[in-house]
Amino acid sequence: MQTDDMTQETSNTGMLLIFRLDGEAFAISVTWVHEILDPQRATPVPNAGPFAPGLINVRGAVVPVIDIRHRLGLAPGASEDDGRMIVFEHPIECTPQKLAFCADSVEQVIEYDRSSMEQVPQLGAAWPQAYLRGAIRDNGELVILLETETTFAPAADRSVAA
Amino acid sequence: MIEQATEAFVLEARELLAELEDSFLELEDDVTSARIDEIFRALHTVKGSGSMFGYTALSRFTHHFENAYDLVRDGALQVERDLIDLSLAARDLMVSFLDLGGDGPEAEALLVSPEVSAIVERLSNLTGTSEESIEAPGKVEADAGETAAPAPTGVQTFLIRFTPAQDALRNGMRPDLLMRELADLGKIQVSLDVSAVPRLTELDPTEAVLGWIVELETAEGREAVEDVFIFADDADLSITEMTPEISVEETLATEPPATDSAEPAVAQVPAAAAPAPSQAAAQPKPEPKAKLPTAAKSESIRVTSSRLDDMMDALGELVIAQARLEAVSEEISDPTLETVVEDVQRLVMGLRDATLSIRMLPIESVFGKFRRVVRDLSADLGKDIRLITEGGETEIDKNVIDRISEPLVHMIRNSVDHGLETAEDRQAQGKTPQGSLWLSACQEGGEILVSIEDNGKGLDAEAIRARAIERELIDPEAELSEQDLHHLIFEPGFSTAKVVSSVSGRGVGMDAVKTTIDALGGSIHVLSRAGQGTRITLRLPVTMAIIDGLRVRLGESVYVIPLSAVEECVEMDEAESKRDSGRSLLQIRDEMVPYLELDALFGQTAKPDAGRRVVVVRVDGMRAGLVVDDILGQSQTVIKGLSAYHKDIPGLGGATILGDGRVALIIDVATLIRWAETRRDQGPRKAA
Amino acid sequence: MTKTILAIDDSKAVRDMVAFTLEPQGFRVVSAENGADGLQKLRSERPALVITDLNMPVMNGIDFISNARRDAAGTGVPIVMLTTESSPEMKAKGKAAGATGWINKPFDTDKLIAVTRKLLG
Repeated sequence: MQTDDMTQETSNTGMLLIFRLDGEAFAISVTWVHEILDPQRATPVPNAGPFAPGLINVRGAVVPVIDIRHRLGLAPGASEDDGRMIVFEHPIECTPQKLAFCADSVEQVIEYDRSSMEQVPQLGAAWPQAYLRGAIRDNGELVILLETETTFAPAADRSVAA
Repeated sequence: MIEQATEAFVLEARELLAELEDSFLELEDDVTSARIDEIFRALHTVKGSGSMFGYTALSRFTHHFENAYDLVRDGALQVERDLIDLSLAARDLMVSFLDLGGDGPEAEALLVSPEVSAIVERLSNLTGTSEESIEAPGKVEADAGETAAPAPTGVQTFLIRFTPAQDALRNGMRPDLLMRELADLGKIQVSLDVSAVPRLTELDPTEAVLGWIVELETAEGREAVEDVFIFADDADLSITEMTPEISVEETLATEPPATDSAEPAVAQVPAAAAPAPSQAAAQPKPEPKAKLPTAAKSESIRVTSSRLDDMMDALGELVIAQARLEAVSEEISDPTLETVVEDVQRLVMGLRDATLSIRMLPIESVFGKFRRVVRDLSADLGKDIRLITEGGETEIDKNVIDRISEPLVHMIRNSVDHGLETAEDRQAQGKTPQGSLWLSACQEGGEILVSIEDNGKGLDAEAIRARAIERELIDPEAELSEQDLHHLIFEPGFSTAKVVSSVSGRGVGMDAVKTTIDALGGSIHVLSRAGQGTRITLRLPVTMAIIDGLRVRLGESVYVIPLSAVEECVEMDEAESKRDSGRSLLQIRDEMVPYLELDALFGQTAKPDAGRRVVVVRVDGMRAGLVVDDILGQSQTVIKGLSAYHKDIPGLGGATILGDGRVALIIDVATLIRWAETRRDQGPRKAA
Repeated sequence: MTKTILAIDDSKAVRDMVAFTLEPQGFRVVSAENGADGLQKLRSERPALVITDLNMPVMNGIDFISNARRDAAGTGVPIVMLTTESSPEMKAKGKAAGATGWINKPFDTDKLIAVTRKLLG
């Protein structure tokens, strides 16, 4: 079954959560967003590789923290103490898994019309295409919609000497 | 609401299908009418309920199956091996139908698939029914509540004469309700036939003695009228359509007992003649709720395992919260608070034990399915093998059961395939022609011992050595005891290359078995005598969701080591440590124990603290030390599984939440040590 | 007053279905898992209507019906048989034992409600 987190079957509009990384606006569907937390110190997981380096406690659940900057090829963030932690649910092998990642800031939730989605302009796309679903304009600014399916897929690049 | 019932149906059907499998296998040894009844009833239930809960295809298929057992029940069909084979195959198909999750194109496709058709044909041959006649068993004759759409006939007038059977009132018929139903159909005029009413002294109020004569003007058609009386088929009933020309008065006048005066009595008479059920029911004085000895009724309820998991999660959080409470109480150090905390701790422990016990299942539930494995496999291989199970009532955590099932299948396959010989070979060695396979379970303290034993040819230590050398698992010069050689079968790479048998060579080797058992915190032990047989014993924890753990510190992180693996904790005496062929060894009393520096293995920047500690653990009978910065203490640890992002990392068995809310990782000692060994073999410098 | 309906079936799924269907209709539904259990509940719960399966372990539906009819608690109470037996003998046996009506399995919730209304008003 295709997990289409942007679609709500009936309507042609969706709600997006906009957040920033290095000044750029990114968005994911709010449908699966659980909560937004102050950043907390993650417990590092030894030998976990750069993509999912740690774990945090979200109300009694052990939640992997994803380094989204690493996946998008951005430089490591300046400080963990600023910014916001977005906790959301992501299905892995058909079971929902709570994940968290850190954004520099969380802006707002907007409604968007699916038909208004554009291709990400080639020129501006410094990020790996596989992780992008498209782009929309919000007050003239380009907002990149992430393809959560691929962006948060468990990494094959784990650096474990097995 | 209906979804819940459907859920119940699926659970029930699965249970029945599991029981069916056992029943069919038991039929092989012993055919009793009780067992046949049980089988018939199970099939009957699945068929009957199936179509109600959206499993029509399953129901239709089961119908053919049920027919066969109907004949068996009547003695018209004998139970023979063929029928059992067929039954098992048909049962498997029922499982497939169930797996499809109800009706839909897939279920329809399965219903007409060659597989199903072949089975249906064989069943039909047995029952002697032609396929057509049973193709549409879902069809039922018109009955109550199924008001066929009336033909638009316009208004008709019916004259209905209705005299219920004498015992109809005792049997729950309510003429007043029937009249009301008729009234709902149109305009009615009712009169009573009192000709059969006896004198008051002779009147039995529970007997039906009245007759009703009704004139009904309705547009609903004859069928709707007949439907009203659907349950009154033993009554004296006539329904005649009156032609418009005949006036009602005339017709009634020709009916002997009809009187106008009877009409107002309609409302009271039936009530008087037939006490309303509620009144009748209230008459005998309410007896005290006597506890009648009901026949072995099990006081069980059925719960989906996900709800149990939820409960475990909640309990886990409670244990964590309690740990936090304890930490806070220690800080405040108030005697009153401490007493309360102790009480809470005791209660939580009680709750924990009670909850864990709910998750316990008899291991029989998994043993059962091995009968099938052994049967099918020995048939394939042309061997005569008897499976004997013992201790099936031993209870073990459901999660453990779920996970040992595959490894057990693998080991059983191995025994049947490689361990036990053919009848000829056995006879040549003076053994009984029939090989035996024992599957047993028992509890020993906090552990469950499960053993698989065969009286086959035993492990060939020399052949194992040869293969191990060939696969470069051991040094050709290595001197290993027979015992050590036997355990080599669990080494990764030992069995995977085996292509000889299509049976046990499937996918996983014994190393996968070992990995699973390790992951459960269990251990595995082999005992084998050439020519006499092999026994493999698994030691498994009774439960696995909450363990006692030793909290240790490594840099700024806290890790938990399962207490069951810990032997002792000692000071790290750097002076007593030395390196030997890439291994770090530590002298503890008079023994040299290899040790691992966790900070190096976990890629943490080593800040060689003074006063480090060594946690000595025992895995697979081997002692090893884990060097940590500090030992923090012992506590109840709720194991939370690792996600797909982390679950394959060697040395980690899960995570938990500490009293202060931080996440700590739980060390899986067995995989950690094995991984460290491979690292050492590949690059000795790295593991230093 | 809320009327009580006794559902007797060895299948929990069917008992649940009866309960889930009739409870929203304002009935109280108690269940029993075989005829013997049913007889006891008939006496203790005093139902206004009984819905019983025929094929059950311990005590089957036909035996239940004839026992119920001999019992004060079962006199006059409508008893509906649930049956997959399309054979008329089974139905006839049930009727002879004192069943009021029947519902052929498979049935849907509408049919169940219709029959209940028919017999209880």
